[in-house]
Amino acid sequence: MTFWQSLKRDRPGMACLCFLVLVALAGLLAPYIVPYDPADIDVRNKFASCGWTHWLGTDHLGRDILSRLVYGTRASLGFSLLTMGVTVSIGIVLGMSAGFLRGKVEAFLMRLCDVMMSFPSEVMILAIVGMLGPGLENVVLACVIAKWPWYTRMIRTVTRQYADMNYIRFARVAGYGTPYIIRRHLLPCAAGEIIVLATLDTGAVILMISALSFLGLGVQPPTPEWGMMLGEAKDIMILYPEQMLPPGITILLVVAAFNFLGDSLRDALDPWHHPSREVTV
Amino acid sequence: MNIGSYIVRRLLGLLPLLLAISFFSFVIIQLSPSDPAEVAIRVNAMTPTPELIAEVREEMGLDKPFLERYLTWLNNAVHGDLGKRYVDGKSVAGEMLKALPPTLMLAATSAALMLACSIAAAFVGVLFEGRWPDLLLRGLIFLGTSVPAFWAGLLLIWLFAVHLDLLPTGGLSGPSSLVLPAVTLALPYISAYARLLRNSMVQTKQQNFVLYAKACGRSRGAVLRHIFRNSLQSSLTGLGMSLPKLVAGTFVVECIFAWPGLGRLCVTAIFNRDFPVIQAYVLLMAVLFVLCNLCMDICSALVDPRLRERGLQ
Repeated sequence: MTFWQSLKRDRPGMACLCFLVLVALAGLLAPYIVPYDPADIDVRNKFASCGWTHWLGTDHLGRDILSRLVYGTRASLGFSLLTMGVTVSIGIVLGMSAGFLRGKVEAFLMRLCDVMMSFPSEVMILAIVGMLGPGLENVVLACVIAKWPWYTRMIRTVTRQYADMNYIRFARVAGYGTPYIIRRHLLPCAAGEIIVLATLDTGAVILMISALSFLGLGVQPPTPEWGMMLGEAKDIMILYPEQMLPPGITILLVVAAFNFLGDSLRDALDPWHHPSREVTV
Repeated sequence: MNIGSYIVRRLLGLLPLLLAISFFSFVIIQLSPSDPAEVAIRVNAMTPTPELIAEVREEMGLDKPFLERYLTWLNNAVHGDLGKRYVDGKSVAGEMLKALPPTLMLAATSAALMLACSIAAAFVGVLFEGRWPDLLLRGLIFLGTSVPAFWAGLLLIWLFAVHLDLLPTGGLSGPSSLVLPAVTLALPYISAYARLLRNSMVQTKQQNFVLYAKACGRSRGAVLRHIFRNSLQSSLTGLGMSLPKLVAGTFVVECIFAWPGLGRLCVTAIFNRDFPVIQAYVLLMAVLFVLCNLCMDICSALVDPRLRERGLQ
């Protein structure tokens, strides 16, 4: 597969992918690799500085920061990946239906997308969290609702591009059913674009989840999460400013890795693409 | 088609969209798992007994059929009455009007900052393409797109307000308090546009007309001006999307800097379960977004008459 090969040749892109896989593994295996329980309060030992016992020190309740960072991967990275997974699945189902079935289904879905996209996604997310109340599940739901129209629309465009091509018509004439054609002939064509967009968006979702948790609208204590750790560090900024560094740098690195990987994937997908690396805001 | 009838037809086309938006803002609160009447009682620190709930429901008109409530709400909203806050019974529209100027001021300052910085950065990138200022800038731009805005805001507060004690940590008190929030808000946009503009200028630079202009002996500044003007298209399209997002995205920055704006009003309302405020915020932002898109479309149509036909289909 040329896509994978050209990605493999892109050293920095591969480095980002490996880094993200490592971070995800650390989050999955958190109970086996962290030295302390992230919820273990040890008030006598609060604000310990970096050292051999606590590699990154302890926070205002004496909890080990490194352990909390590793456990925080589950909320921040895990739930962002879940959000993107659900969003992309909805996008694939609805987008392919719209592109294949045409007619009223398509008209209705596209109108719906138009209305949803007429809200800035930040407002949509605030509205849904406002309606359901603070909480991580509500933030995930809000992100899915705010993002599915973009994916539905993009996948429908791709589907329409390919739906009239001769090889798809041949498959139809040969008697293959729509689900088979979608799985075998359409998904591989659309996969590249979906992966690029989803990779870039995962970084954005991590930022969104951690921003809302930072404000107290997302993850609720005592579950560790990167944005929430920053929110706690904010209150003690004047005396212990170094507490802001570990969670902030972690978010920065992971989001940067996703952004860089997305760009690499885009270039790998299109060998003639000028490496212009545009972004959408 | 002349521009006047284009604008009229676009405005008429907006009516169903605005209606859908208002319906969505209304429905979203109705879908909430908590009963507004109960919330209204609880925020005033009273115990919700069944009799009290029934009384408040009647008072708030919640016992009427759904459609009737929506039409009443829409009628009031069109006349500028967005209901009362649960917390203190103040008019929502009044509070919104009070919070709007600070938010707009913040967004406008950020937009100006964003334009100035990203254009300057793009020029540096093009002038020094491939040499160290360009590489340094590309590194910074990449950092800027990935850094969480709230973290950047905290670091700025620590450096300039706590450590150096040059600027206030938050609140709205004179022009100096505007600096940190505006920079924080503009940061991701500066990176995005600097990158977009730089790349499109680098591409334009390869084109034949630039070579021709150089061959004609035009000055360096004149050639650069040609490159710049021919690279603006993609950035302008994005700008139409970004400007309302700048207003909508202020809520994180407003909360960090205790900025008395719309976003903070809404986040506070979410904590208090103050539904009328959330509803009004959603409605206001969506209308703003739609109108901003319309303005951008009209601007493009003014520049390029071909778009007038296409935009209506």
